[in-house]
Amino acid sequence: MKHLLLVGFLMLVLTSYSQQNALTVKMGLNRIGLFVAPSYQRVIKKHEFTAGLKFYTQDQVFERRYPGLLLGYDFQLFSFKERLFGKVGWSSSIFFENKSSGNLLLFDHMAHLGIAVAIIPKLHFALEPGIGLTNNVVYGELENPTDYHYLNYGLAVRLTYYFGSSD
Amino acid sequence: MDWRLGLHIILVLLISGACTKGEKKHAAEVYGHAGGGISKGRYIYPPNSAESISYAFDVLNADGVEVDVRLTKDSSMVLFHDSGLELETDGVGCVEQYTLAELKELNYADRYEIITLTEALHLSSERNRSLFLDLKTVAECGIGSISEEWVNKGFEEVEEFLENHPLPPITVNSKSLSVLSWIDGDVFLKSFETENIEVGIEQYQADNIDKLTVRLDWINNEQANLLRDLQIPFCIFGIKTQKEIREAYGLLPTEMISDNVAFTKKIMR
Repeated sequence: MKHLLLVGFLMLVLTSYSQQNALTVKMGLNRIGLFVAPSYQRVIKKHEFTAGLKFYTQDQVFERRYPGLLLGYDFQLFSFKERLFGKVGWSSSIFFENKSSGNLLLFDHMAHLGIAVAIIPKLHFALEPGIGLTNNVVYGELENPTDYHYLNYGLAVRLTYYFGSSD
Repeated sequence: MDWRLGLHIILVLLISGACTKGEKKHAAEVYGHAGGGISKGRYIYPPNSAESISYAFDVLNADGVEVDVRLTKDSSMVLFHDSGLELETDGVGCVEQYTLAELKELNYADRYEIITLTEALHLSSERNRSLFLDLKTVAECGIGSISEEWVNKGFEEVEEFLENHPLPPITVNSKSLSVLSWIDGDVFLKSFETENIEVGIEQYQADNIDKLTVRLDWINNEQANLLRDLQIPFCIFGIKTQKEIREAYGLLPTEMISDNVAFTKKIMR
């Protein structure tokens, strides 16, 4: 209950600042494969909170096209004349695939740097190199689940459309 | 547009969709190349390592793995692709010049170790998956070809393991027919790797081998059709890109050694 109240208070504080919404599409390539991630963003001052879906092509890991759930956060480090922005952020996504040998849970955590340019004031294009950790947990076939984790790295581009600005 | 034409198009699309769904796709056994793949820059774990083999089984859902088998100085069978050690380890010289204990001391790809065939058999036995052994019988460093006695001694430990751990059939692959003639046909399936499909067919019909292994660019549609008509099992290797995987699958082989297991399995769905 205490935690809920704390989260509620935090949300109240955050929502009292100027807010904006955004729709964003991120596309990139990393060691898992090629992906596309359409998401919704809530922008509060210099903080961007992201929730959305992430789809990997059926290539190096996945046999089926299941969407993964994605959560992310970006912090705006600097802004140059409202045209050029520097950001740092993190995103985590989770995927599930039922293979004939067992069930695969894949956790994909990435930290990234972002350089964004405003094509028009409400439309930004960003380049985001990232590095992170991928965890593959497989259960169902062997007595104990097996866990494979490795360093992941990649490059992504992001297109973001901001709307609904309010103070 | 006339509504009847629209209805006709919808009906045709529905019927064609239903037909495609009912079709059963050709199923080939998919082996991970040296575990999870050997393409530099794409694999997660180094080829022929314990991690790569179990990753291919567990995460990539491979039906089996192809591994490269070499003999040590003291007749142990280890998994390593090249004869020379310099490129991938901190050792110098050739695998065949080292004892198993000495090889175990080496760093493979910085932080991995060279494993024995018996260790790989344990991994496949736990998961009841098959192994495809590419037996390397020619060594560098002036050693030349491996003798029959050396090979037989190496297989003793494997046969001992198989007596206590039942496994799906294990294939032994070689480019040399004389090497295959040393292999116990009651324990292993013999696969002959050849560019010459006609010679392969002759050897199969003479009951000297159980299947053929061919690189994708050694075989054409006609030859693949002939092998299927004669009911000769054949395995295709040398497939890395998505285009090559599609091309290889189009020949309807019985087995495929793939550098991209997940994509290979995907196209069979």
